[in-house]
Amino acid sequence: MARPTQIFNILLVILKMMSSTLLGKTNLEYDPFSYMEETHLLPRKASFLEAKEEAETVEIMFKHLPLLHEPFADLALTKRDLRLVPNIQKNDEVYEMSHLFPNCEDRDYLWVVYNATSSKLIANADNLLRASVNDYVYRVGKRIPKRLKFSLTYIEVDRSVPLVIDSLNEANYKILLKQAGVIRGSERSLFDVSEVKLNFLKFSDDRCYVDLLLKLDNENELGIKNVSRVGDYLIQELGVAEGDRKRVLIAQMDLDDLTGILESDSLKKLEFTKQGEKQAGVEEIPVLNIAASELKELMGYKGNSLKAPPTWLRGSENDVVYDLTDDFKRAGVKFGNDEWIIVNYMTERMYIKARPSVREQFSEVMDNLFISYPLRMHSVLTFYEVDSVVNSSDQWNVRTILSANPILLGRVGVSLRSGERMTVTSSLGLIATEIINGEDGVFADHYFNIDLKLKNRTVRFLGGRYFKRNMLSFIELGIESGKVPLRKIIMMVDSKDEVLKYKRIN
Amino acid sequence: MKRFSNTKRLLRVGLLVGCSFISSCEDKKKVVVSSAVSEGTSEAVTDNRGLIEHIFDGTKSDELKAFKVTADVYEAPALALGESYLSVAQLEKKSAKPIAKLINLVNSGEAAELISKEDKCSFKTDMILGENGQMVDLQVSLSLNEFELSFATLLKFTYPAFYEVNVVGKPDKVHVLVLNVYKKSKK
Repeated sequence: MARPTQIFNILLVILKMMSSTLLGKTNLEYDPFSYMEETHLLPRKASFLEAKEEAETVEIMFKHLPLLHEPFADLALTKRDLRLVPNIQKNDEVYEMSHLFPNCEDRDYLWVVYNATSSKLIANADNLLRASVNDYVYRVGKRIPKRLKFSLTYIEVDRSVPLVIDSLNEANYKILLKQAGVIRGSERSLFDVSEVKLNFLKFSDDRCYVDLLLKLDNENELGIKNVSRVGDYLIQELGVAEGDRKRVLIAQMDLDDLTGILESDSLKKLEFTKQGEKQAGVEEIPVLNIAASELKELMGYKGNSLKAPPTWLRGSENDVVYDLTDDFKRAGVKFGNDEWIIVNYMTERMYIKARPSVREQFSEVMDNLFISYPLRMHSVLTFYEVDSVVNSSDQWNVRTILSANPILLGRVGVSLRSGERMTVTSSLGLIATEIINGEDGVFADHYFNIDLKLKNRTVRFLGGRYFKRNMLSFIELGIESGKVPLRKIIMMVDSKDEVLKYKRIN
Repeated sequence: MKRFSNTKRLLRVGLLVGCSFISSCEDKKKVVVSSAVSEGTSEAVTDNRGLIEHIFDGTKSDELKAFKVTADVYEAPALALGESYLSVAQLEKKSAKPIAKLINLVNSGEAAELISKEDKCSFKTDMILGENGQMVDLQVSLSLNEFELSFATLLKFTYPAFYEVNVVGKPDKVHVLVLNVYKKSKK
């Protein structure tokens, strides 16, 4: 017969066990955020695209992964003998992760570990596990906080020097400002030096909003609000310069993963490291830049459609391939049996195997999804003083300017996206400009507020002009008083679009 | 016998105290305590090369959980257009001149500010440990004569970040800040 104290103790132990189990369940099931985090980043099971098995190659792979999403506390140190594996030293912290990868199940010779000391995910993988590891690293990589790495150099150089880095380096340039650094890039960032204010807001996989203010001194300021792509290397004439000079901004914006590896560098290296074969009946479609980013946002990452890249795929060692056939079926494309559309997110290529009529349906859906639009417009405004007798109307062109005894007064470079504004204040005066693209995609409204003093001439203009993009335009600004013959000031606007859209390879 | 062992123990303690006193005297040969900043102590170390060195101890709580934020400032030749410094080895190869070495010892969630009126420099940091303890979120303000920076960034332990600012009046020179953070800062 048990004593009351013994019964009490037994009850206490049972109660404790029950409460811990219940609490454990509560934490697991009712914390929506931890649940979401875990399910989104669990390694996914990869399968083959077509029923026939692909040749299996088992080899050790190494993937750079600066931070591990899993807390180390949830993982155990591996008990595997990894002495012969390269990149693992005796005292490294190496965690076992094989149990998280579904493609390791029932195959003891396949494994995955994380070396926390060298920040490497290491796996002994076949084709399927390799696809699963690549996909996991890709998705964790997207979650890792990123920094904006930027480099800004603002120079003044002779106007004849081409906007090419080698030519600029060889030219006799004057550095007005140089700044470089890495700042927090996940949200809003501000880099505040005595001369630069950089506001940065990342809003998609590969695009960010940049608000840049370069303050050279109390008089000279250059403000740009712009949308920039990650990895952009911009060499652009910007700001006011007098006579034969021009001012050029060399700007690089990129994301790095806290260890100094740039997102654009890692993407560049991934481009087509494998030699693929042309596959009969399969069409390759590059989904460039913006479209690839929007595709990811629209289609997401489908857990059950991860595929091991087929051997014929012209891709990289890091391919992340998803089958999008069902998504396009839902959008109205009538894929038949043995017809499919896949995307390789690493190389931003799509591959379609379908009848011509289905490809046509697919093209229509793509056209609706990704309309082309200009990322930004670069313009150079050049001011000349010319004889007024040559032309009394607004129909100026390069030939008539050259025949009218022109004096080059100065230039202003601007870079704008539709609806954005750029301001430049300088010891030479002020210029503010804004551009609104027409719906036809051909014309644009360009507004100016110009008040400059170039070579002792006053250059003023307040108003707008509706003009054809990617063409030279000429605006007559005014008459220089007190000169015989009469002299006029002409502004030549040279604008160029930077357009990005998906395109097909025929 | 017991008295003998007590004497032996006393001698041993005395020897230890003596040794540590001598070593501390040796350590402080080059150290000049410049100023005490609010809620912390700042020490300046000067040497013959004119390098400005300061350590500020802003650790208020458990010093075992302290972190070391280091700022090394160099004057270096400006690289070609479109290029910037990416490693300390690159700075050394270009014969960059070290100007200052500033160190803040801090706890996560606490701000620290090193100020030296004598050397006209200040180094303010506000650090929070984040993401599974593998990185820090850091706010930095640094001024050294005409060189001034203030920004927020993320750092992974032992992976330095590089910042560059052109030197006013010297178009061929840049100031380079190498920022780093380490665990276990005290020793």
